[in-house]
Amino acid sequence: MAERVAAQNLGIDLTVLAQGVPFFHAGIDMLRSKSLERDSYNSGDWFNRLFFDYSFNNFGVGVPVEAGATPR
Amino acid sequence: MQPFLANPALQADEAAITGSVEHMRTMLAIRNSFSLFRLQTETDVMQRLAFHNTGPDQIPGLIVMSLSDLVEPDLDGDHEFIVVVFNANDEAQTITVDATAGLGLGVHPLQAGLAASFDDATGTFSVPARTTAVFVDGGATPVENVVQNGSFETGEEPWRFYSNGRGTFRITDDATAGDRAARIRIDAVGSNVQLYQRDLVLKPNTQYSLRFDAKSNNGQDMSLFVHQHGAPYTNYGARAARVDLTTAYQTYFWEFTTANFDEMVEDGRLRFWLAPYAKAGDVYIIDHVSLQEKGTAMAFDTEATAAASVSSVLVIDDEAGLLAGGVAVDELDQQLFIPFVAK
Repeated sequence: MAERVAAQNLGIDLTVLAQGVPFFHAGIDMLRSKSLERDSYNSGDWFNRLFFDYSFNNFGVGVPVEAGATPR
Repeated sequence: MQPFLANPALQADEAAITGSVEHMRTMLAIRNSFSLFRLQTETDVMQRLAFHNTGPDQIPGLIVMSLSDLVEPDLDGDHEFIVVVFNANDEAQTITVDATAGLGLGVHPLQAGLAASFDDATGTFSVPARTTAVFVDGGATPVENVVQNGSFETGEEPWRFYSNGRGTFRITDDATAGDRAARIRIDAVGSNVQLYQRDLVLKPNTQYSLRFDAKSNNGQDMSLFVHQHGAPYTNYGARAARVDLTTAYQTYFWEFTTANFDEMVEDGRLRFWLAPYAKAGDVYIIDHVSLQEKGTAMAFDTEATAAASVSSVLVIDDEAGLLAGGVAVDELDQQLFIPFVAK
């Protein structure tokens, strides 16, 4: 897990330290996950939930709605 | 996909999440600490930004970026050169950039403790696996902590404890930064109980960052103020209704903008206000207090970095409206004005 966090943090660093205006998706700093739901526009709060108390990152709350939506 | 999602090994725990949040705060502070990270014109970018690990012989997975202030105009008064090394490899990497030899670079103070290094004689950088390391010349000047003896390493001075009930202020070795911390024990309830430091120098209309580590024996809370030390006890912009303490050390961050004065003042008081919450037998422990102007590198030393990693990040509930005892905000203002004669 530490390895994955380090990899994600490195990705954040690239954006943070680049020239220009950095853009971050909400929750990237708190390891936010949409449980592999690829297009969560219509997925409701179940997949889009953000835990601002840092207790949980919403990983693995369910299999994505559309079958085969997220080939991995 | 289902087994992947159900794999507990891939589940981030709270420590991983708060650690990541801490990381992003650090990186944002680093970006904020040098104007070279925010070049304004194309000309500036062309003249100052360079990438070094390029060409057919490049080391894969390694980006070496430099930002130069050696050309006119001088954009950053304190620094001439920054090198950022992004190492995406799963092993530590070493790279020599001839042009950096003799520049006297060092790891950014906010990354103190990172196992990255720079050999000034050859211009060789070493960076651990999956790590971004920022090297600066001369080292970023840490901003002075407005609060003196913030980690209580030199004892109680110049902190003061006041209670119109009964209580004691001692130094304990139960510390997060260094070896010592403040320990307040309440023996009898008072209506005015506080640990404070006076004579703080504050700039008007300026953003400040406050951080400290704290806990209490029963999880009882406290309030926070920054205000004028003497009458009329003007609110200098900071009034936190409630700091939600727990029985374990946690790190608290809070940002506020100074207000209600026009010129620099030297009579600020940082007040940890225990009165509305403290009962007889309660014990508060506070350590590593730092009050600094925002937007500049935080003066985190290595000890501080270690402390931050063992605790989580919490945002103080500012202007919460109601205290636990049902005290409204305007009553909070009245608490601000409770006068007392300083010792």
